[in-house]
Amino acid sequence: MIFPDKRQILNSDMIREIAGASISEASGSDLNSEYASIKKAAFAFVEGAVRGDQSYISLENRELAFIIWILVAIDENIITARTIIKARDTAEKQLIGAQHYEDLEEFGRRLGIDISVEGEQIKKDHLYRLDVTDFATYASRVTGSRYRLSNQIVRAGYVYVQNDVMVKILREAFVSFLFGVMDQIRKEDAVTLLRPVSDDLERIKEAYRKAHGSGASMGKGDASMFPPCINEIIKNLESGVNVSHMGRLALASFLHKAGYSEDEIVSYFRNAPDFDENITRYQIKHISGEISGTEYTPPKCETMRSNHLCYMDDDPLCHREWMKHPLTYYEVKRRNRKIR
Amino acid sequence: MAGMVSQKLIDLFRKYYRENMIDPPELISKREVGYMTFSGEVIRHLRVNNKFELNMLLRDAAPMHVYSSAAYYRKPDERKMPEKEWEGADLIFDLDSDHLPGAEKMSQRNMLAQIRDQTSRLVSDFLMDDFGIPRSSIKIYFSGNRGYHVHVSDDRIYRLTSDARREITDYITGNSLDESIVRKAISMLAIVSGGWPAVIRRELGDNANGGMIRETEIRKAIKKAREDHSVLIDSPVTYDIHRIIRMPNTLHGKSGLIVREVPIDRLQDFDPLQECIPEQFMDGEYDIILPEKIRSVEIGGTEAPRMPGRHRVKTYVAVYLVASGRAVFP
Repeated sequence: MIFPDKRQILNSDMIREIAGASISEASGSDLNSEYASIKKAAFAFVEGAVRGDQSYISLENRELAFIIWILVAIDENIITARTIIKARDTAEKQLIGAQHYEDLEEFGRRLGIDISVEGEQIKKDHLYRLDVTDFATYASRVTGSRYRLSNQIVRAGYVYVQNDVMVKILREAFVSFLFGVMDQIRKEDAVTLLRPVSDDLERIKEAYRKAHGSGASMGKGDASMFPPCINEIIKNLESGVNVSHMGRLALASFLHKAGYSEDEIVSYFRNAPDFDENITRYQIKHISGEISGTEYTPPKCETMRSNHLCYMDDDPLCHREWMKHPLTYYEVKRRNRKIR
Repeated sequence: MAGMVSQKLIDLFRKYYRENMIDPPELISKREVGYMTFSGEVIRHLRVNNKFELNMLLRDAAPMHVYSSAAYYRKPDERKMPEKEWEGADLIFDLDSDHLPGAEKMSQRNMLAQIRDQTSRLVSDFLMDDFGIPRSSIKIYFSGNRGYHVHVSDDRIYRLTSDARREITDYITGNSLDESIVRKAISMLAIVSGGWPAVIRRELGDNANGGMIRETEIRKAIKKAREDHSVLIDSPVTYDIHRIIRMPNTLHGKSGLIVREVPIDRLQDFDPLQECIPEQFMDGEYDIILPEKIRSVEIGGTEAPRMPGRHRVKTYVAVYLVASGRAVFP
């Protein structure tokens, strides 16, 4: 089980020793061989993430620490995003399987989230209590009604949730924590410390280039007429940000309705941290009605808004009273251009 | 304002700023300050370091509207948002009686009373009871015209992201309520009770006790709960963490009334049309001209004239009618 530990991740002496550890060394102490296997496991984890390997790989604290330094040294958005998502999913699996609620408490405590249990723990008739601001901060990154504040029991500054919701909150807090720790490590320091493993770093970059080198070729459509929400999703996907399920559904169904082909739609998803071409194609076929028989329409503005996918800012067209749907936006822009 | 800006109105606003020392919002030097002149020019991205500087600015500009950001920045006077370096923001709620259903048909007094009740429920039911925000962190202001603003300054909230604030606005408006998930939460209320699930269970009444709740019943209960319990806030004001909002203690350019703090325990019987009139506008009378018949307006306990033509009225009545565009100075 991982227990996020900032001090340990930032312990550069330990990182230096892990980077320098070697299995074949004759004078190999116990610690040296332990470090060597940590190093190996860390690289295997990052490589798995880059390849898009969906299988579960267990993770322990020092491996996670070394992984963070690898990511800072490589400094490639998409590699970072994929690895962090994989670490997140690993932590989530561990939290779901946790035998004692104390494990969740401890995990939360290390992320600065105060959790306590309300009700009878033994009879499984209990809820987790957390601060309403922690809930709002992290739940806002998870799509779905299950995670909306409105649907929770809220009282006197606290939210009371069941296990599955608590796990998702901790998962998102863990992601924030990892990005936060990465910000505290300077790239030059990471490169210097990881010099003994520079070959391994190169190997990962090369693997990444091979898998994604061709770069996404954007569909031919009129992207300049897309509404800001759709452009934001595209921008996030391009830079390797993990877009929510609802966001992906919105984009795919929008592109489909705007007349894009399956191949063109797939190209938009190529940089997603968890991209899997077969699954993506399957889902696009589902949305286009080829499999399901029902053609999906993108969510209306109101739904986009409550799922935190609306980025209207001060776009005047979005602020019109009758503007209720992303496709309307696209249609209006296209029509106006034709007139001109 | 029919085309021409009235110099008389500007002079009256200047008199207010000359004869008062406005208390600035807390940490004014970290906030972006902006204003709109009577000729419609908008000036933004100002940094004001203290009370003295603020009052100098207001006396000089005699602005129509004055704003400051809910956000605290390291460099509030940078012109581009990312360069301002956001450090946090108060949590702001805007309640405007114009948005009340059927507002067009309501009297001014009725509109203000209804929005005052909504403000009161926002503060007591949502902010204090549900979110546990201490009374001392909450300030209520009359917006200067048709509603109220609620400001929350608290360590717990000031770093909240825009997304987290949307979660809060959704909660207050009762958005995103989901039948099956609420049903699940209702079954957990025995452990601890609160939030929308508790409100919805109350709406269900006896139907909630039978264990199985029918789909149509819960849907009806949610609809009813939203009607009775949600508060009509203008959500984007809350989740836009860069917005500038009307500065307390300044004058609203469309009414000449003060954006005045209302103590929480005085809200119930607060009458802005009595208590937000500047002292400077209490004395004297002015001639005004009403170009056409207007709807009933009551301010400072006096009924304003309604019929077209020339009238002699108290200064504050003249300011109110001219600022709101109903009348002109001759």
